[in-house]
Amino acid sequence: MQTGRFSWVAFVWIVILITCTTYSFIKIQSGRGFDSNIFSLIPDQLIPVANPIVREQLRQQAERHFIILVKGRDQASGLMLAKKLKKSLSTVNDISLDTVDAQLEASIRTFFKPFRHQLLSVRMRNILTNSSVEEIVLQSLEELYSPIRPYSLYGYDEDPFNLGGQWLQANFTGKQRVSTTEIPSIKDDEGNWYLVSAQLKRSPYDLGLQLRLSSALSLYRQHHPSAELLTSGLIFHAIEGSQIAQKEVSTVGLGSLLAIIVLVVSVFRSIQSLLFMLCVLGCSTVVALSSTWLVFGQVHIVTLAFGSTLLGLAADYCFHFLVKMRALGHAKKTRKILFKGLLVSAVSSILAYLAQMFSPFPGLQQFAIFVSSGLAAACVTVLLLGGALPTTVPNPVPLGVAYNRFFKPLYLKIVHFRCSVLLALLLFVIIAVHTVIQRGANDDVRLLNTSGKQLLSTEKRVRALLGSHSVQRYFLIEGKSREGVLQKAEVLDDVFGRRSEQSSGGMLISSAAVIPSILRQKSDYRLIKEKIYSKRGAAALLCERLGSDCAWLQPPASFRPVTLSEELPPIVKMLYPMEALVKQNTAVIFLKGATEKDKAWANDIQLPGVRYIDQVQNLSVILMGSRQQVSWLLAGFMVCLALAGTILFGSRVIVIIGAVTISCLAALLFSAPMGVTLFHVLALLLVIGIAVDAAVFFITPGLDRNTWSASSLACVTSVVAFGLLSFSGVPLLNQFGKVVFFGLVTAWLVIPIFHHLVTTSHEKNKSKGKVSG
Amino acid sequence: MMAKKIILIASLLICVHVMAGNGLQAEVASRVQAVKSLSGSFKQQRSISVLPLLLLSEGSFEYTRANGMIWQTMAPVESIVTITSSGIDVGDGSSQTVGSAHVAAALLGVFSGRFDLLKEQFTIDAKGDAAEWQLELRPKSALVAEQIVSISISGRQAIDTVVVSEANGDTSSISLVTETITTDK
Repeated sequence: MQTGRFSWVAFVWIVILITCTTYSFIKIQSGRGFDSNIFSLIPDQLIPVANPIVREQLRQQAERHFIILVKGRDQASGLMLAKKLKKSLSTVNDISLDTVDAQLEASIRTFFKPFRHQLLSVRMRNILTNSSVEEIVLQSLEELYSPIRPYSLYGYDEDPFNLGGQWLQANFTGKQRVSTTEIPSIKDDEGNWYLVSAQLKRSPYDLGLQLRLSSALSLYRQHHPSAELLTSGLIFHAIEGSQIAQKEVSTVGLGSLLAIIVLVVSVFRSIQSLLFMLCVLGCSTVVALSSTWLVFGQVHIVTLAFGSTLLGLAADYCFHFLVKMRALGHAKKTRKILFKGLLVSAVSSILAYLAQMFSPFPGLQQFAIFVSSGLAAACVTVLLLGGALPTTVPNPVPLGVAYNRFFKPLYLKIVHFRCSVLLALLLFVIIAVHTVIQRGANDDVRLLNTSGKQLLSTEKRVRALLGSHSVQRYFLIEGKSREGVLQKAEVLDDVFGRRSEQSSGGMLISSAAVIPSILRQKSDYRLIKEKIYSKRGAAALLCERLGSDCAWLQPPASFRPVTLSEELPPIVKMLYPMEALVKQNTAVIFLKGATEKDKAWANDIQLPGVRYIDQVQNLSVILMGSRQQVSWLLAGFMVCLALAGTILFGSRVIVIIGAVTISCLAALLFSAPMGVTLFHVLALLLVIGIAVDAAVFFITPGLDRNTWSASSLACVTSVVAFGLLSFSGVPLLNQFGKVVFFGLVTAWLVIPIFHHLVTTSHEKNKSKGKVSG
Repeated sequence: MMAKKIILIASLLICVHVMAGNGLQAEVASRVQAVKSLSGSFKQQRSISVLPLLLLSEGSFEYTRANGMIWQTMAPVESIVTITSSGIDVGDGSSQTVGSAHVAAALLGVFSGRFDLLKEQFTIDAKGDAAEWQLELRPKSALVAEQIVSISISGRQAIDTVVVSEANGDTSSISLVTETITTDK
């Protein structure tokens, strides 16, 4: 390329860089540029529902509620601390504290009052169906004359048999385990825990909201060290996940950067080289961030952690350029010679990453865009900026001497035992393949876990104390009409109720409980009218026993169904957030207190239009599916690589394929003792990218002390970056780091061996050809 | 100046009253806590606001420190209710509503002398002296106040009467006659 054209390209490149920097700055300033939701990395199949409104509602139910239990030294201090916590949380933006006060409870009573003669709890329905009028009256009299009379929510004249009260208690007032103290509380062996709960107005993965809540809580803890807090809710896991990921990003990023600076300064002993390197890394990071923001709107924190390794890859190009320039003593000549190698290497790596865009895995797609755009930027910057470097580089450390004096003779010695080496490599491949197959795959959902043990145990404790149900397991009922859906929900409720009677198993939290189907309301109305308010009904007999003329009794009005068109009180919506879905002809029914046996039974239940969904199991299936997809992608990429390599490099493609195969197998052998996971396979893509990169440079411009030095330097920086990642406490980052670390070290060791094997074979063939010629 | 004096005197009187109340509570509590078991009979007079008649019932009660309370109604219909620290059992396996749970907890709290438990839910106003005392329990939480206005308990050596006033206007008055009593001393 001519100098004039280079200047023009450089100008365009500078404009692009300025645009990217401005765009990145705006994105960072907006505070919405980063995402920490681990589930946004996997395909959106966790909730297998077609209707987006239903899916969003289910997601919000799982994500947007949190609970904090507070305990003090004694009850009085506990109550005081709970009040202070409420006050402190009320100042946090985008958080709305739950309040269950007397007015809200009264609103439920008032709302359902006109319908009290058509709503029956399961227990009362059973009593009215199976008991005689005499038995019903006797039970009512027992309650009436007992010193501990069940509290009736309506007046005696309005509901003498407490039917409406029993219904409200079954579905609302008696639903919670907590005591209705000033602030709701629950007691265990340690004392009284006061309950503070709230709803989030934003996603728990909103980093701004996370920061506001965690700051408020740490300030509260600072001011009230005696307060013991138990937390439950996705937001707390999201906060911990973000904190870990941010720590990993800074550790890996800073580690890579420091390693690069130390290497450049100690090897090249030149500030110019260091500035050149930093400039390339800066440009590549800015372009990578901008491209990812442009395509996805947000950059995931895990992408950043993975993407920090881009620094190591981008540094490769700089090292190759600097080492070659040092050998040639001329920047423009260096660019000319390296032009093809750099382009082939960058394009092959970029294509390898871009191929991941075809995967249905959003995390992989984002990672592909981030790294491929970053690599492209690094390559362009090296070629443009490298050519303009002054050639007077002060006396660098002659790393190549180590190659010439030690490594080259060693490789040649090894290659001398050609058959033994090939046999050893074959043996290694057989053992590694056998071991990896024997260990099998691992799709455990805990791979996605970023929460510490303490957080998980407090979450468990809160659930046990409150007896709350899991929002991960539920029955999903879909139908053509609301009435149809509610009727199906009631059939399921009956089926489950019969089973629970036999096995004293879990119960169902059904949205249909709030508004029963019209069919059920009608049948309950008829039952109440017949058994209670008919001429020979229980009400007449009760009046007779009480010696009253029944003038006070308010008989039921004519049937008027309670439907969803009625404006439900807000507290109903708070207690049954899934109720809103009935408008979408969908009902969601949760399992409460269910044993493993109940869950297995629920999974096998066969009712038309009723599906049992276990999101935890779903997640495992998604991980398995994604692992298989990425494995196929990997296999496809290897085939393409072999074909393209053969076209470009002929028989020397063996260097690439051999090195990639051995590196991948070694990486899996040493880093996946508990079975291969999705993240191991994902990391293999990176191993392949780096191994191909190095192998291509050894093929063109060729393996000599310069390319070996550059590769070794690049390898050291990447090994530092991934080595740091392998210490991560997050399973997926840890696995990723280990695979790439072992893969890289193996690639660095075996690529020269393969290169020498192929080269010596070529030379032998040539010499044979000459002899025969 | 005069106003200041009045405020000072009033404050002192309130303090004395509160301190006296607290002292009485402690005395009643310590006396009741010494009771290991207690049994006797009761008569209940219940007034339901809409019914033009009084509902009269009678039966027996039994309290043991270890097992809680058993209320056995014998007339006009028979029924049995057991109150323990873990809840109310009415014999048919059904759970009780919130309001009755508070009354039951209050009764158990008074019989066992666990005023600390009572104070979670109620403010306690003590009147009289150790020979003849009266405790007035008023709910702290608005949610409970929606159901119970007050629980008034009076006694001498043991509890004599319990009066429950409900928010809907219903009242229950239980008179107790203690027949056997065993104490720690």
